[in-house]
Amino acid sequence: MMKTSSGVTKRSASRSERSKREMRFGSHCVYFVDTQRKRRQKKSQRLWKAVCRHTCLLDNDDDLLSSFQHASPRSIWLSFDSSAFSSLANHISVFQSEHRLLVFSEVAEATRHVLNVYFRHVLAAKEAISYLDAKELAEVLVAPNRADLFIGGTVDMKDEAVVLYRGTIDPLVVPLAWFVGQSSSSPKADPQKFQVSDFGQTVKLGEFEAASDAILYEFDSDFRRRRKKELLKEDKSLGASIRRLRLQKNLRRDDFPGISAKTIARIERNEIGAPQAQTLAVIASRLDVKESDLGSY
Amino acid sequence: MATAFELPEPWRKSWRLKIRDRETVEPPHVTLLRGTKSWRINLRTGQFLDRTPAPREVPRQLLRHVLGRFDEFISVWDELYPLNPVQSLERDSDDED
Repeated sequence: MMKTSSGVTKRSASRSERSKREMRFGSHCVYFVDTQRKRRQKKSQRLWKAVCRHTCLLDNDDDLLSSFQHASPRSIWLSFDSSAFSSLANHISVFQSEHRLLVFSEVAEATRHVLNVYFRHVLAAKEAISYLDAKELAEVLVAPNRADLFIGGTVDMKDEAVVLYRGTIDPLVVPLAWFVGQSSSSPKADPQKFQVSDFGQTVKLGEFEAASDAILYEFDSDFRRRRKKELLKEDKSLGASIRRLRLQKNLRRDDFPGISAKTIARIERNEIGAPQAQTLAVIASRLDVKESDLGSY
Repeated sequence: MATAFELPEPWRKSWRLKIRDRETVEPPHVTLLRGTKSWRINLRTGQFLDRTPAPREVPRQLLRHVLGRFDEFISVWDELYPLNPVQSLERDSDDED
């Protein structure tokens, strides 16, 4: 093995360089790709100022490639446009990753197919998606709890669904019919006026507001599990879980066909040690959840 | 309608205090929000539902201000969630035993 003039072998020098790059790029989770120096343009200044404090800047192809190779799973790349990633094609063969990409411009259909080879989720800012403003977006993307915050979304009127994007760029689909208040004094949700606010903690459809944690509580079992662990004092019994879920669904105890309100009350108070399987099946069906999830609320 | 309760200075700019049209219904609570963080306060007990924040996270003066307005929050909650009013654990109208 050839030694350099300082006595260090070429192999160990290369290993040292690799370690440095691992440390530099492996410690971040949000990268800003600007190999074409667009952040200096006037129209890009506002966005750049909002994100620069929170992200690792990649302004050359080598750093971009290194970040891709050393980044922790589910890291996020931001970019003014998608052309910055064309250099990846020279180095990375067909490759599926857990990485995510948010591009602040339109992405052509063909380009999207290419980007989907390198990134699990790709979002383009100029699609019919409403996002948080730049300052809030930047803070959410680097927040430790970003998976529980929304950066934006859109309403699909044809399928009557709201698609929400979490701070991890993962999508979550919620039926539009869910956005209904439990009281006649709640406003009607206006799907034409979709907005995410409060740093991703509130989803608004016109005057109607929903807490992001209420959405995740009903549609993400992993969130429910984490939330249950964090709650300081909570009755974690099956009965209490059924009661919480019944109230969340805005149902009364006499809303369960074939089961008396008195029986529901007794189950909720855990006065029935082991409810019959058939009873739990009816309860789960009425609450529109799987039987196995009844205890997770 | 979702209610954002007004806060006095110096908290007005950075903090929000809300009861929204869709919340996790049980237990009844009001939510204090700042940036990407939030803290839910149980309207039945006055305790935090999740972890208790350090004073540097939630100023004690702000907390005292919030705890002093519970009647206001309870009336808004009861209007938005008539099936689970704040008093419901004590007198549940569904309990026809």
